Amino acid sequence: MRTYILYGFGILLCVAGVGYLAAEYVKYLSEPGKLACLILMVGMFALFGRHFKEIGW
Amino acid sequence: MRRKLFLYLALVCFIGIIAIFIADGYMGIYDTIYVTAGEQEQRIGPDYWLQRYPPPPGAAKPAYWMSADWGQKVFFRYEIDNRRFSTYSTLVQASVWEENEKVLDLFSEGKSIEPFDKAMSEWTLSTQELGISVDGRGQYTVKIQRGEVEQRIVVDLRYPKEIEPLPSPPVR
Repeated sequence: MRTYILYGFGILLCVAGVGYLAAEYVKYLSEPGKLACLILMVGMFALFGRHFKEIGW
Repeated sequence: MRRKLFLYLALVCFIGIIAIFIADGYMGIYDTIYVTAGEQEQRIGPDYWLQRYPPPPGAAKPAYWMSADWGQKVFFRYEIDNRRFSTYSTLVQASVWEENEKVLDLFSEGKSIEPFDKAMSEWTLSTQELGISVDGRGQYTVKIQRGEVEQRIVVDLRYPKEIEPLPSPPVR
């Protein structure tokens, strides 16, 4: 149980760190850069969804 | 392998996002202006200009507004951050303008900045060199040019009024 709490805490820190960096740097991106990031992000979530489907979630 | 194919592809997308952030977001030339009038220092970061450029069609060029008392000195510090893999060379010029006419030159210097290094320029605007209208006000534009990039700071000058002494407390 304690291991899962630590996992959760680590994941939370990672998400917070990535979120902070994204908010900090997204304002410096050009419009094509923002579009490319959006497309890659949509692709990333779609592929994650497909992966979880593949492993039977 | 097939089971984890989509996971790897998602990872590639994530790495692509990070690569775009680094290449498109972090890299480049960024400048920051620090202006000190009186005891107050104001920082005008690159995001101030990034949010206002390009201006909408027909709109005036964006400017930063600040005020100062006539007679005091306004100190400028101009920092250029070269976040590129090559040396950046440019000419930095600062001048004061009023109604599209140059009033005086403040600063002019060529700069050569090493990759991932910063350079600082400093100059002082003595407001006593500038005229002021009869109503005690005046507006001047400080134009800072770095190559083709121009940044404008509008200085609103006001004549300091005489400060009356505070009334003494009543004697009981």
